[in-house]
Amino acid sequence: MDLPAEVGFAVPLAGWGVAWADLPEVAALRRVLPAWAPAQTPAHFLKHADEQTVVAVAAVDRAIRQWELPLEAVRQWPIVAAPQCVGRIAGAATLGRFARGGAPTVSPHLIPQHSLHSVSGALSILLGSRAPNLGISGGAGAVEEGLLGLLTLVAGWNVPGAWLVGTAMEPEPQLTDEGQCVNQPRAWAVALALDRQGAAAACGQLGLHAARHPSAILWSGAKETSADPAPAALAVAGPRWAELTRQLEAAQHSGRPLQAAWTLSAGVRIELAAACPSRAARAAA
Amino acid sequence: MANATAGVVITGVGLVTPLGNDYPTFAANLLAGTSAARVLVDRDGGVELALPVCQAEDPVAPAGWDAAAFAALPRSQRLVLACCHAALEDAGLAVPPPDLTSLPDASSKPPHRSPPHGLPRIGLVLGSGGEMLRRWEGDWMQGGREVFEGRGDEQTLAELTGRRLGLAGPRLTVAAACASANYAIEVGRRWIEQGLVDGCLVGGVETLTAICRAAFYNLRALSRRTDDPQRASRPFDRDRDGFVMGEGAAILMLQRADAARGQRIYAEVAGFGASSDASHMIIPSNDPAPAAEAIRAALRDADVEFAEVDYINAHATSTPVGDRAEARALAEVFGTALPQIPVSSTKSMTGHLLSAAAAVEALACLVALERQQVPPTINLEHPDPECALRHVPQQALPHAIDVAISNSFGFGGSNTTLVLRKAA
Repeated sequence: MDLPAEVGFAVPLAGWGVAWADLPEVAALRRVLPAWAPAQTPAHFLKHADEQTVVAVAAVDRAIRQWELPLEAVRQWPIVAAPQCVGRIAGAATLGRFARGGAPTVSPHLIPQHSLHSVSGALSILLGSRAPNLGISGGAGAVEEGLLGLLTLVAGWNVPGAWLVGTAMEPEPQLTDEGQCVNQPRAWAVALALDRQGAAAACGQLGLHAARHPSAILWSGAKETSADPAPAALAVAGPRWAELTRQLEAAQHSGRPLQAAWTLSAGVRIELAAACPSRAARAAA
Repeated sequence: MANATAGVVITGVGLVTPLGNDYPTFAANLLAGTSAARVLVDRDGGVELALPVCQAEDPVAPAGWDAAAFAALPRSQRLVLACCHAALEDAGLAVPPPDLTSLPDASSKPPHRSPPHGLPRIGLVLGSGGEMLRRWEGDWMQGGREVFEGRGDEQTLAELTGRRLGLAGPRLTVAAACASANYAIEVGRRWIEQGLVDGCLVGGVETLTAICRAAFYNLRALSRRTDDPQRASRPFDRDRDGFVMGEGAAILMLQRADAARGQRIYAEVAGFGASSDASHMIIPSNDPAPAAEAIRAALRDADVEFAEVDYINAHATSTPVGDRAEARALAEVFGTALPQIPVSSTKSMTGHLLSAAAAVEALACLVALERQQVPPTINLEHPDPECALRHVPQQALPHAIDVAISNSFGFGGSNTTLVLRKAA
């Protein structure tokens, strides 16, 4: 069987939204549902949600508002969420209580709300989306895994668009045995709206390229990121959602395009180009 | 019907399940209607919690591996490594003994410039939903403080396994709660179709922990039938009172059909469909439409007509709400064809393996396709009248099976269906 040396595809980016919040701000965000949530959604829907779910909702809300994304379209898109180390605060608090009081102290919300599927599941309900939702990664490689998983499924499925929502805590919470934070962690989220059918104007694209030939195999997880025209200096060793959130926010404010690329194993390369600030930002300017 | 030779096929399996740690044993127990349930008692924090569970025997280190180093790994790593090794070996691929005493760095080249497995790029997609919570709990039980220290550099089980085995393809963890492993199979199938990998290990893993058991107990999702554990998991039965937790792992090796020359082909992965309820984080929707759409999408993807489906491996966990919702979805999809199609829930024997459930139930479908027998739903003595299906109670049913579908639904409102077709 003859195969081309390289395969690749790209999906238009219709918009993005970013959000971040420290723990008191997360507590406040829990009490506010987005305007686009279905009317029957209980007001306490986010009461037991993980911190990363709460900022994920804020990031999606910002994407919808800033880029004026059509709700009837984005509600039909699959949702891929790639949190990193979701559930740390709830998990630590559970361990402390469990040591003292055993099984009755474990919250029934622990697994539904603080597992890898929880962010995408909550977004699916709030968006009223009957398209697939799933969580990806959960570990240190959440950025690459999230992008790769999203592109794999968008390319394979006949879907009009898709959401990718990446979330993390940075710095990660430092916790006491009782689950109390002793530092000041912040929850970060970035929501990328991919629109294959042009329901919204494109502002960039997300693409995947893969070398098929074994000699093209790359073994590293190298990363190159720049905000044109001046390459951005990156403070952390590996790609992180918090870093991408900051880069996108900087691009939004400066009006400078953002380009980022990640080379994964087996010659898989992922490229993100976000070319212009949102309509809302332009109007504000 | 689609041309099976152009598709993605299963060429190897590896398993650690409550019904056995090798395929022949699993198949024999499955078709014999064996329950793996027994009572496990937790005594943490001065509180006793007794539950029926289906546990898997610890896997032994593969021949040639450092048995002491293998035994020192966390249980979830042992399960996944053993399953990946078995699946690769079953597919006829070489598996050099890994160095289990240290973890290869992500940026370092594997020691073999020539791929060690005979295929240049083998990927790994693992369904694993509560991985970090279980990892932190396991570490804490051993005196560790990983969850409290918040380093944020935790690597996933898929990443750790890929590095240890020297897999040159991408690694991915996916989660849709109890539908996780169906998504893993779908991602692996797409990677092969898209040319990202030459082969892909796909499946799921679930290890039970005391906190996990307590969380589901407090959700009131579990059977409390501790006086008769082997009759506790009773999907579709009028007297069911919740599900029985199971643990284990199952990994399938996927390859392109036209690249699997001379290899044993278990089945073709013919189709996949998915949807969301958009209803509730825990409780399945009363509306059968979303789950029905997942089933329909899978059949469309596989180019299979309703009447061509020969066996339905139901998600049916043994909860009244979930079993009835699935029965309604099946009725909506198959209509008048439904009474002709045998339906069973193998969770009656294995328990509910959560993140690994769909992988183990794909194995059950492989057994059905290979042996031409429908595995039974044991403990189904008084079928719930709201689950009017062609049940296969207590004993396996000899039946011609070319196409089997496997439903897996999960928290977060996820619905998935996998279509498997008998190898030509």
